[in-house]
Amino acid sequence: MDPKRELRILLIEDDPRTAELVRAGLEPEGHVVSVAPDGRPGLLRAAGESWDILIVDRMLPGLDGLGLVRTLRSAGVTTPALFLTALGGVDDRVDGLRAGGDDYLVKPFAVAELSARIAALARRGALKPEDAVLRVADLELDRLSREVTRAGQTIPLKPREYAVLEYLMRHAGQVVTRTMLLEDVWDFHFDPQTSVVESHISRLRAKIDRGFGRELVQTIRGAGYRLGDAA
Amino acid sequence: MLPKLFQTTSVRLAALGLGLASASAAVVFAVIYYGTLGTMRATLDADIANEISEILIAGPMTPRSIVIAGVRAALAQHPANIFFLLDDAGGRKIAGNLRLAMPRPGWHTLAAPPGQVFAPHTHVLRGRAVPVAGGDRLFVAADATMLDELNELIRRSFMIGFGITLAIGLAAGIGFGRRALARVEAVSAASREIMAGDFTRRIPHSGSGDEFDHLAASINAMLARIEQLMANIRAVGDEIAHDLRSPLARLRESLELSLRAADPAVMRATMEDAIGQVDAALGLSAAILRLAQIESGARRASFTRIDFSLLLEEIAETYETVAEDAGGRFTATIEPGLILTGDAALLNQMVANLIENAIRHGGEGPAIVLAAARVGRDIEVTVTDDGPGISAERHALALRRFGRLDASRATDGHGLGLPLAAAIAALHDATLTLSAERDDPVRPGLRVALRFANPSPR
Repeated sequence: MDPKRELRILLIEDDPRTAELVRAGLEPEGHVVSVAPDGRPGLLRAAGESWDILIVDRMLPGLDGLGLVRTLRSAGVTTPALFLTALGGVDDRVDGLRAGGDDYLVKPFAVAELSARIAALARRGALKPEDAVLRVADLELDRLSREVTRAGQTIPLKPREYAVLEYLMRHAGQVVTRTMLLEDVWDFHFDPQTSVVESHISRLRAKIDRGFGRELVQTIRGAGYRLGDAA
Repeated sequence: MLPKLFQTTSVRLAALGLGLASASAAVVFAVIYYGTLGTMRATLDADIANEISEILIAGPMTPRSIVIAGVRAALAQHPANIFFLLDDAGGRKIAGNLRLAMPRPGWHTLAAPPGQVFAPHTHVLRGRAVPVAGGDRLFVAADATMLDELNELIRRSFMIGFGITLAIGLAAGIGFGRRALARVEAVSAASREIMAGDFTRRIPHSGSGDEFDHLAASINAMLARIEQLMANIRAVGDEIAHDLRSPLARLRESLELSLRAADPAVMRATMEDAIGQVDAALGLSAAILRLAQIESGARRASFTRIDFSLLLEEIAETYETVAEDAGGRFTATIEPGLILTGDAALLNQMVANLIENAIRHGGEGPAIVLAAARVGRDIEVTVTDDGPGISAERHALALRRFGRLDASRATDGHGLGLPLAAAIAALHDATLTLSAERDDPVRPGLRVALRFANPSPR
């Protein structure tokens, strides 16, 4: 599928500046962003129209974001939802996920981060988690034997390197940010003061890219990494 | 507002106690009174009835002459303490040693009529009047002074006893009430002063170890904790202000410079730099928030059973790579099967912070060792490096918030790594201690030891 497909996004957000920033960040990528500035109309629009992604502010007038998503989920609406919040507390993320949210982003955020997460969420439905073998170009990863090969050549990886690669392959063609890797691969919900991600990416590059001609792991400046063929 | 004296618990308790004591005294009084006096009176009454039956040998119809003879015989037998009066229907005295107006038939207790021949102490009589044949009336009485005096004595002693009990009880109640009020007032006064802003004030102790001292000790402990927290907040406020000022000041400079730059490329670079500085400030505030939340202890609610060995293995693998890239060496010795109850995300952060600290401050090419093992019933995790270390007198400072050891704060990082680790350790009832790794004046190294006391009791 095309990871760059246009998405219909409903942004439920009462702060016009944040709404403007999200719109300005996502529309150039071809997404269509509609803004609902209040919880109740937002809920009606989220349930009544067809969306690819919901971006929901946690603090809303009328109906708060957690309640809104909880209501949607109990009404059987499964549209992926990403929470935006000014609360950066350790438990707030868990609360958001428990309410039926699919991802969680603390304000202020980089637009590149939001964009990467939106793309990941939009593809989540299309991705079959039970796929035993992941393939990108001539790179193969067997999730049962945990074996990685490139051009038929077995590449030994350490467990963390394998986990990073599996994550990149599951999001092949998409931008994966440093924070996404830290949260999903390492379960680090804090900002490490050392180059945890960079070190592992460079090891991974050395193993799967060096000597194979085409580089599969690309660095996207100011955003993160992308695994794929395209330049 | 202070309660009124008579609303105090002590006075109410004293009143209740007095009421109960009075009621039981009243019962005792009744028993003694009716027991003693009743017996005495019964004896007296039996004597009198006996005399009457001896005189009226033929009952109420005994002829007057026989009655007169009987009275005289009785008088001759005991002249001093039995008194008789026989008169006719008109009230004229016929015989006897008494002069008084004949009472109606029945039992009577009356004052001894003055001016007659009684024993000197006699002043109360008890007797019975009975009708005799022909309208005559016979009154036989005995000296009831003893009875009366005893009656009086018992009544008076009870009254005095009662009075004293009441007085002492009331006085004690009021005294205790006053004392309690004074103690409570001392607590209130101290509380008011504390509310007014004097957080060093404490509730006074009497030293008696009573319940008020107990209460005062608890309140004082609470106040000490509050004072410590307040001091913390103040210190953190200052430190945040200081630490946030630096990135903000730099940010301002960058922005001002970018205003003058005509070249869009320079402008763009400055903007990116500015965002980096804002991110640094935001990172700092996130770390402060996190520290505050960890210190509040609320995270304990989400503790689960954790395979700590597995968690450490994963961190070790991660940082082996990071340390090598930083030009150092990293080794780990982790005993398998270490289980504890905790918060995996926070324990991750704690160990990661300690290792990152070693990587960042362990000097040129540090050799870092992570070790975890069971020591008795405890679990001990150590992170050691062979860097310049921290001198013993600065260990406490290193664990304090923002206690960054270089006063200029020139190195990057938010200075909260060790304090965060210490707070997470405390949340898990673990102690964190710093020491020198070895006896080398140049590179003594730093050893950070975390000890989880008996984390999974069997």
